[in-house]
Amino acid sequence: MAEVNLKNLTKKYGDVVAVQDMNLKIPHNEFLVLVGPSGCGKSTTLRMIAGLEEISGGEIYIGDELVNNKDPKDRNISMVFQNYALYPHMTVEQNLGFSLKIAKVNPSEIEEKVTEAVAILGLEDLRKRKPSQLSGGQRQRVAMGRAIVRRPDAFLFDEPLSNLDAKLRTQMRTEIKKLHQKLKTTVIYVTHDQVEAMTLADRIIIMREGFIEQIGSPIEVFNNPVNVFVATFIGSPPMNVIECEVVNENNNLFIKIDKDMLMPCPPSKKDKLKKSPKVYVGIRAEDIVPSENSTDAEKKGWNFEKSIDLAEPLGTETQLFFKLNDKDVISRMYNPRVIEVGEKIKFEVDLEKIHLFDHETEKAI
Amino acid sequence: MKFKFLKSPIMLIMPAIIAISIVVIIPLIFSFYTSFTSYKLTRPDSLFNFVGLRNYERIFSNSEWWWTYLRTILFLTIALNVELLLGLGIALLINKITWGQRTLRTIMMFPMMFSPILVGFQWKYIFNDNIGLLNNFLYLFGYESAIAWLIDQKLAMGSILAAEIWANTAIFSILLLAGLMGIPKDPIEAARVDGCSSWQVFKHITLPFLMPFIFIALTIRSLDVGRAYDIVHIMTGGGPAMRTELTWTTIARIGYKDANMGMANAMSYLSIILSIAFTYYFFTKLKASRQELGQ
Amino acid sequence: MFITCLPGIWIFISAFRPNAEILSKPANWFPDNWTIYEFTQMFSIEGYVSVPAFDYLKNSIIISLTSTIIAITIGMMGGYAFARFNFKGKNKIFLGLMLARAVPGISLSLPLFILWAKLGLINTSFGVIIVYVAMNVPFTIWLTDGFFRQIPKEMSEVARTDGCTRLQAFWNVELPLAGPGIAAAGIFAFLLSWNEYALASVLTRTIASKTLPIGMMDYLSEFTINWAGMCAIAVVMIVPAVILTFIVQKHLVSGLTFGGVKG
Repeated sequence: MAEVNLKNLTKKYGDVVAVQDMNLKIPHNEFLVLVGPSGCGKSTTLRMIAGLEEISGGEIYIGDELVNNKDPKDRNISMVFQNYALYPHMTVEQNLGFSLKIAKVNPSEIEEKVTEAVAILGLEDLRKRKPSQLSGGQRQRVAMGRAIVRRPDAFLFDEPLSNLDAKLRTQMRTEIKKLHQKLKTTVIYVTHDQVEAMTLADRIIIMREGFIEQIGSPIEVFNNPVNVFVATFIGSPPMNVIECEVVNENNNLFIKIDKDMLMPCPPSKKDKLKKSPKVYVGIRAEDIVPSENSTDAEKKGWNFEKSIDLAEPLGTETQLFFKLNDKDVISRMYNPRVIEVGEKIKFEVDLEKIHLFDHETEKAI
Repeated sequence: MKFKFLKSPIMLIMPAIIAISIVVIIPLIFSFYTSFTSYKLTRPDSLFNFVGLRNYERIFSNSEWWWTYLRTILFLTIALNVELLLGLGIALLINKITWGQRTLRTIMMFPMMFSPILVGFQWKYIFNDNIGLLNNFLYLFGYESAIAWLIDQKLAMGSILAAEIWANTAIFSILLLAGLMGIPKDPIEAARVDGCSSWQVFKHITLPFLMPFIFIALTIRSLDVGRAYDIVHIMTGGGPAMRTELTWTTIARIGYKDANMGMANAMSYLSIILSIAFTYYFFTKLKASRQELGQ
Repeated sequence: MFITCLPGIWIFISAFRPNAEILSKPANWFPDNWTIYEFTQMFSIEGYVSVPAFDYLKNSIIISLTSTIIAITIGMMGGYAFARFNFKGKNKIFLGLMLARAVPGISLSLPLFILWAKLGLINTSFGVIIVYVAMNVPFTIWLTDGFFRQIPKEMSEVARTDGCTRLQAFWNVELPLAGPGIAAAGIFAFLLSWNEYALASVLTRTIASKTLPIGMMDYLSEFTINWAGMCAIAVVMIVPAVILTFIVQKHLVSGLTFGGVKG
């Protein structure tokens, strides 16, 4: 039951910087997700909080206590590992009760807490089994149970779901969410899967090469990505980002989105675009709307027509692939019908929904 | 905090290094010193009789010693190669068998438990010209004149080699079998589909996968080559006419029988270099072959 | 298979037949008279008749067991360090330890004999034990390094976030998991001590410290060999070794193949 506070946290391996000057305050009961591509420093950060990795610089507080030089055992945290790391020589209940046994809790109390954890996770029938006799999902539950039993100040999850198949992953995701609501503890969760990040997090931290790129609620980072990296990392399919020239015609600003195709500049961004000759344009797939069914009166945004390279029907939607400025672009069509390759389709884009990024810094304009 | 030393790898390795220093390093330094003296066990004061490189000069001009040295290298080369090939063959055969594999493997380990001195004795018994198993066996087929396996100059070395190979092929076959069983099936099947003959599969898939195991076995064996001393010592004692002497038996003879420690220690150094060279070579090969497999 | 087993079987048979029958010609393949004569000569209650096998056996057991226990303890510490830590010169130290093992016993025996004589360690069990510990440590490190490496690092990490110290994590989690492997390493060390000849033959020369392999030579006089007696003592030597090896054979192989400092 405590907040976790990181101040100027840094980790270096020789000359290689894994985490650079990280500042972060994680309030009590928050579900925080660290997300980023592999090698971005998210796991290193987690392992430093756990005390498994030495700190090169900065401070870590759990509660009010500086824990820099404390052993993992004295930090009152629990960690769930990607490969579960269940003790293969112990039964499920022994696995669950191990931390209490080490802490010299009396046996009746251990029994009580184990029974409680087993009930929460629905493992009642498996108490006497060894880990080798469990399925992947069950192992995952035991690993979580082992963390619950300790009543830690903070739960640390290191990609806990990536060894499960897709269906089980979705199911366990829901369970983790429920568990958090039930236990009301601080959770720090590391994943490379942005769907997990979006669904689970109160707050998401997107990391790249040791730096925090953006912090915010799932909706915030989705709607207002601060740069091209975040824009393409969050959301599925990833946001379409097209490199375009800015054209000034008769004092009107246009973005040259394709050969012979000019898109008017969104009015709210006009001032900022004046000086830049080039810009990155980001449009989410759902914001490129096929407009064949709407009447002219209904059309509000900017319209264009393009021939389709490929159509992937997914059931509820069909994803249409075509090219703008030689870049593959995806649109989502929610009224699926059979689409022929090469067919010309009309699209509509709401100009206020497009994202513009500076050509040099890649930062949002 | 208690048990801080568990965090320090150097503290953990220290006891091992100390033990080895006492038993290996210090004696080696001492023997290095004596190799420059005319130290004889019978005359303790000779320990301080510094003779410079005389021992080495004598050794270098001693053709007898060089023949022994050469014979040792030849002996090791033949033994290791035959053991490797035989071991590989046995491993491949057992790997093909699906039934009773465990039992076979267990039987195969039999010679590994034998003390080299026991191996030597056992083969001395088998090769004995008078009551040996081999001659008794040949007698059945009408070879009535006993063959003096260990006394005949040409046969003696072969007999010792046979004992050595019997004792140590097991290590190879066991380790190579473990390697064979660990080879993933996919690459082999992929190669088959790609049109490889079974020889090509063996050469391009199986063998590279086995390489680390081959070098593990060779490294382990090379740690123990000195044990061949026991076998030779008991089977022929270096005879007939020193034809089966290896460096180690020569050292023992000069050191203990002739009590010429200085000379023996100088010879020791030359044979230690030989052992270490073998081990070092295989060990670096082992690392290289592992890197090649990306392990 | 036949070739592998035959010599052993032949020795076993010979141990139970009278010496005269062994020397008879033409040979008879199966003994007419089974006898335990040679064994009674070695182990009779009123004291030995032929060779003090009981003393040798006792020496062998004491020396092998003690040196094995010490070597395993030291070796395990080293193996753990190599498996779990990265430190400067790791591979070089490992190689150095292995090369120390490669020094042939006979080369070592000369200086050891002189030094031990000076220290008064000749003909004592203690003197032999120290030597065997050092001989066994490098190989034990090789094996235990391999076994600890097979245990995922996370095992120890999760134990430590579960409230264990590093030592508790080792004791409660890593040691039980590596247990069978360490037992195998132990038996390997035991066998090496049990079977060693070159060094022991120099360092032990009295009944108080001679081990079985040295004792076997008692049957070897200048011109004659008591074949039956030698076979009998060989059986005494080989039976414990066989039993022990069979118990751990599986772990032995996996230990050997995983060790040796990867990457």
